[in-house]
Amino acid sequence: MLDVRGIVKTFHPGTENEVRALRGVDLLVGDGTFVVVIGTNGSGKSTLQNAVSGSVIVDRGTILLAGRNITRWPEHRRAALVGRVFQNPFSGTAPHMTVGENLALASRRGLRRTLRPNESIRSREELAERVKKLGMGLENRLDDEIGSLSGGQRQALTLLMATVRRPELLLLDEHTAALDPRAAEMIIRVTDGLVRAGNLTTLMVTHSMQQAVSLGDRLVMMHGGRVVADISGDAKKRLRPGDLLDRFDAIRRREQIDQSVAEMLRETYV
Amino acid sequence: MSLLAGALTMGFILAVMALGVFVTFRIFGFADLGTDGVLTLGAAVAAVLIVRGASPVVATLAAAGAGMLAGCTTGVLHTRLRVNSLLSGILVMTGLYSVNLRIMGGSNVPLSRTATLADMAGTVIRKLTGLETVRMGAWSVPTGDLAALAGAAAVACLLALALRVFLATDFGVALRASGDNAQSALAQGVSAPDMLLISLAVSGGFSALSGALLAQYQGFADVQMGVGTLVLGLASVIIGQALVRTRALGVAIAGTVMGSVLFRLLVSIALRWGLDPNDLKLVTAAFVLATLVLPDLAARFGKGKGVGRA
Repeated sequence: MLDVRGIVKTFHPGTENEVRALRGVDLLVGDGTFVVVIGTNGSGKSTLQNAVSGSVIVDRGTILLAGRNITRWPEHRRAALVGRVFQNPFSGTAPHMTVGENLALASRRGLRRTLRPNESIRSREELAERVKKLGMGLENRLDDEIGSLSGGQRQALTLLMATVRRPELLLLDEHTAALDPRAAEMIIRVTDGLVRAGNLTTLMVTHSMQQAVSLGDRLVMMHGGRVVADISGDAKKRLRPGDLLDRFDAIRRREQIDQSVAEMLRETYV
Repeated sequence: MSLLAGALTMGFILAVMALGVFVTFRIFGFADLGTDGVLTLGAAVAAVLIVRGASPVVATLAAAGAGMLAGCTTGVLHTRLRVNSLLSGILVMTGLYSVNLRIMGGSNVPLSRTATLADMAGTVIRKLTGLETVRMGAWSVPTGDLAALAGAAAVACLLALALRVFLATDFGVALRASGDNAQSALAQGVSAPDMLLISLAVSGGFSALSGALLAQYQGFADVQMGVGTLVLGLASVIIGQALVRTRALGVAIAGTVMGSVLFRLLVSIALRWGLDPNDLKLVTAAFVLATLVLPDLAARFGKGKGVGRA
């Protein structure tokens, strides 16, 4: 279970570049829940993920994961509990190491790394078996450098690496945004399969309205560093891309009104 | 023939240092200038301990330990205090100059009157074979020289093998991943700065060990002996890369040892043909510069002519 309470993050405080990325976010994600997070640029959705993964340390608030307070844990320590897939397919794998070695790296996540031969030597069959489940024929390329694979293949392997040891939380940061449509579709299929099979607690950020409505059990919409909508259950199942666009429009109109009201007040009183 | 044996022995001894450079430079892209000071540190520690009556084996191991400590220092400066990578190496190198003078109590320590590892190796082989010289074709070579060569080759090859095995362990895979893609290593729970720190320590141990062997082979430690060591190590790694043309780990490591030996051979041939020893460092530097720059230039000019890279 992920329990985020009142987290606040301001970048470059006190300068003209000040960005209040998170203005008090609360989010409770139960075990096995698949949450999709959407929001406009600068809504704070990526900062929320980074705050959970530890690449951003929050100014205020607490983050509990699996009953542990990880708010001050460094990133590499949180990785014992958190599996991650990045937007850039090149970010999640070591390009000059083989497919097998990358998977071996992942199979020790959160465990002690000793001077035993790595897993791609020690239990090769098991490793190949896992890769086979992706259904991409990569089990025949265990000794190839990952850099020689396509973006989609690398992203599929990153997904496998993030989940090969069951994470308490799986973070997916727009992980199909940099792929071509066919690869993106394939990755979404793999994602859904892995999350369902492992009943994984998942937080997925996406730009795609289609993904937002078709995936997950719950949808969280962010804007201006806050959660502005939280839809789950039947309401989430009935949701259509058009509904989301309407909501975004409503937010935009409200902001415009806010701005014009402020303008009017200033003209009247200042 | 003796010259050849000498060149090969030097090549294998310096290959130990080159293996250290392989770890920091090939895996992490970290050019650790501290290497220049650490090689001398190893020589100084070993020489002083031997002169004071310590066993050469103990003295050599102590030198490696001192080198690891020095490597750690570079690592702490860079990963903990966030000093720029080149600068942290330079600071350690500069500081070590004084440390080395202190350890030696002067600018050099002769080892001519004490038994070293090289002498021990010679004694063992002489006892085993009962020969003072070995005939190789038309030449006869002192057994001692051959023993030193065999010893140096054994040490370099054993360490290369150990490094190969180490880099294929769970820990070694994490270390390589840290150098290859720090972000992916981090996502798998590996702290890349910690791994770099450990690599610098290991590399320091290798360099100091190399220095300790070098001092015992040439019969003295000198405060200037480390000048240009890193560039020499880079040259070995780069030649090795060109020799084997593969990223496969074991082959690349073997290539580094071969690169070091080949470079020494080329140097001794060049000296034989009349290259002024004073020009040696300039030639080495120019060589490393060329290998760093030429592939990029070739690619750029190749593109201009519409020829793709192979």
